Amino acid sequence: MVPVALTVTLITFLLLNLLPGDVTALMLGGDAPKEAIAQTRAALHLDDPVLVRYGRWLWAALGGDLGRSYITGQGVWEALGERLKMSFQLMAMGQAIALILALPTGILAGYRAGRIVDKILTTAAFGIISLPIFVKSMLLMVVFAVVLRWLPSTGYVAFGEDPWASLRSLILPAFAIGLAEWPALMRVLRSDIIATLQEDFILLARSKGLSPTYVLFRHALRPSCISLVTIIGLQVAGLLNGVLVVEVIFALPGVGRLLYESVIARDLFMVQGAVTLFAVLYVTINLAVDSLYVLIDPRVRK
Amino acid sequence: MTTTTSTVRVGEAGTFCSPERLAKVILGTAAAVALMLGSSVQAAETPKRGGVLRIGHSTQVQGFDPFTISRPNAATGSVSSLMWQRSYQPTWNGKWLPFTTVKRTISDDGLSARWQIRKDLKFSTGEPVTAHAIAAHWTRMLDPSRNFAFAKYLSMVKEIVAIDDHTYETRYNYPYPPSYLAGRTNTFLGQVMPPDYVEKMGRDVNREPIGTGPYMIADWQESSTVTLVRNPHYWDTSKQYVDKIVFKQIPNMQARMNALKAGDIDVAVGMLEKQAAAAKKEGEFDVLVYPASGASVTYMNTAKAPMDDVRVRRAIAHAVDRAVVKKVIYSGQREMATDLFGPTTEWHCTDVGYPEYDPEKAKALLKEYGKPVKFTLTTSTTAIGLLAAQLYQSFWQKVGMEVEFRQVQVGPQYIGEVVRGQYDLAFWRVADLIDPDYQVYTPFFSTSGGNFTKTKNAAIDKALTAGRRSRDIAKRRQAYCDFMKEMNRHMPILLGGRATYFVIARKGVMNLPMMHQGYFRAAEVWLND
Repeated sequence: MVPVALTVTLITFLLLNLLPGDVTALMLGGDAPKEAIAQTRAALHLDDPVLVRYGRWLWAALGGDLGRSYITGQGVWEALGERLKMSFQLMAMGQAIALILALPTGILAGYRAGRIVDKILTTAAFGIISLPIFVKSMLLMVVFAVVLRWLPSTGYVAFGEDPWASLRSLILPAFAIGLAEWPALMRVLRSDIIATLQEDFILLARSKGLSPTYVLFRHALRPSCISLVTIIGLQVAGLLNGVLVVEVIFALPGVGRLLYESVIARDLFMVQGAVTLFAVLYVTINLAVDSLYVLIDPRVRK
Repeated sequence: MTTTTSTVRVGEAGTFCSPERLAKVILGTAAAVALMLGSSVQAAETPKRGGVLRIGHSTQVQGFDPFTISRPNAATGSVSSLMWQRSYQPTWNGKWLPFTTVKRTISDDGLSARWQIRKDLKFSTGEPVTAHAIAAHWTRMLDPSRNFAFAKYLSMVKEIVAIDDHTYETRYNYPYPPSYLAGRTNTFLGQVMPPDYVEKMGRDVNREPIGTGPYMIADWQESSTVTLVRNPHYWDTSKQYVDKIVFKQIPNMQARMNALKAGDIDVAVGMLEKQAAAAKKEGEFDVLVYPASGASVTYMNTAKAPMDDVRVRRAIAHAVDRAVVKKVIYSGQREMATDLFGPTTEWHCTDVGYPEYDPEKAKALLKEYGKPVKFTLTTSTTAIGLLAAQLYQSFWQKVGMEVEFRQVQVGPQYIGEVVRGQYDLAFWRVADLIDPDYQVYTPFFSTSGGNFTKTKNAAIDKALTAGRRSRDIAKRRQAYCDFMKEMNRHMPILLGGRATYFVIARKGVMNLPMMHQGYFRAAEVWLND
């Protein structure tokens, strides 16, 4: 984990250094006197060699100080912490919806492969996946917020403030994410179910006279979940910073938006802090996924 | 019923307006008010107290420390307008009335102005607002060692000193007629906080400000909502109509409109022409259209060939069909500017000779120039930036110019290229500010550090200097008209749409404010529910 985090932060630092534009132009205005720009650059150590600056940042980061935003003056940890709560909640709800949709539809499509149910579900999956996420989001918003007025159209209520309002505020964006993630999960599970159902141990179970439902859920489902878990792991990690469109449309204060706005503003410390956090979380999630394989299928241990 | 509010005149009562001009203003404004009376925006009803006003806006509220926030956006200014109030308050009939300042005296030599503030002003903590706090605020901004981003705009101010608890004096480096500026704007100039608090908080003061206005921040959810409640120590409690004001950041404009339709917000600000036109048509909401000062412009780098030749610059202007621009880019909802000072200001000039659409004249000028004209237009990566670039490119190609455009991400890179002069033509903006001196001196005076078009024109410099130094308002007005005439002859910039603000509100939101500088000053809005 440590080498990955170090590599990612170093590459990010170098790439940010290559971006055109000067952050002092934002801080002092484009027409600031040269002396003022020079003073500010010196104060921020922007004239030091890039590796020296990286070393200085890394040393501070190891001590828990990720710096402050050049633009708002807010502490990076503070900004990330505020947004991570929302992002985790949205990620969990979105992934839960995707899974709730994918499990029954994937099993059904796999079990009834080639039949009408399978064809309907496959068509639906391709139809939904072909809709861009902003279209899905807008459709959900118009139907459930503007026309039916069942749910709030935009905004976020913190869970600690009002749990019910918090869940309501994230239902539409979570559904937008869930619908975007569902087809991939469903298709993977379907394929694995089809493959598993052709295994010898399934034949043996059937020959023992066990009911098809029992065979499906007790014997076929578990070994068919390995790929599903892999995909979920990748999706969860991707969702941490990859739901920018959903965050923008539903006006959610998430880390994806923070990262995007920080990149545009050349807010170096904020970008660096966010990327570091993502790298650590990404690696952690993948480690957790690898551990899950063992729980799902003991054969992996061998 | 929809409402279109269009004209508000700016001029300090009895000081800067001739009786004739004032009469015109009142008549013009009466027409605008008459338009409003048919809707729910009328001010004739008795304001009601209570309710929650929810305002949807696009940008993040950045903070309130001038040393952290160098470019306050509209959302920041709107919140600031609730936390601090201006020394002078505009009225719909074109007057600026003393508000937190009760008296102003200018010295005979014009080198100083003395201001007396209300004695009952208090910070939201209950601590009295004194002239000493105001002087300390300005001293902090003027301290050269702090590199205040806007110091260059305050170069006329030598110092501000407290005379007594309720009187302070502004001393200038040279006679400076627009001395009322600081009192008319909601920016860092007026964001006074207790000096010891500022000292104690350091950089955190940006996000934990203490104000003097009718409302104060109760909750701030980063990139989401800023909630303000009544300031219990505000001097005029009768003007704090709504219980709570919530600024809700909704970056996507269509989502903002949907939130309004869904009843999740009461007012959508920062809307575009298309939404305003659609809302007007539907008639479900009130629409406020506020033509302000400033304009979208296209900068021409006059230091680079072929833009170093005035014939080429004029040909570029003559080739643009502004009627098409208005229709395509602004959905017909925004007027094309012919000067940089809007019809809602007393500096607006008519008949300033902006080049008319005449492709034949453009071709003739290019022929006279005698060399092929090739240049690159810098535009943003937004859809509207692309559309505008394609449209302008088509105009110029029609008269024989070879035009490419390149898209650059708005932000440091875009600003940096213009600042460093690494452009031929670039879309830009002349800001909506409260006085022409602020607006145009730095961008167009030949030796100014902010002169990115590299304009070097003696007549422009002369007019700008006259506008800055003269104490006679009529002479200032004439100077800025002369400035515009010379700009339209010299053509360092193309003028696009006039800065115009569009606000869409649900019925029942009363007393929609004037949108000076694009700030939604919600202090006097009330709800008729």
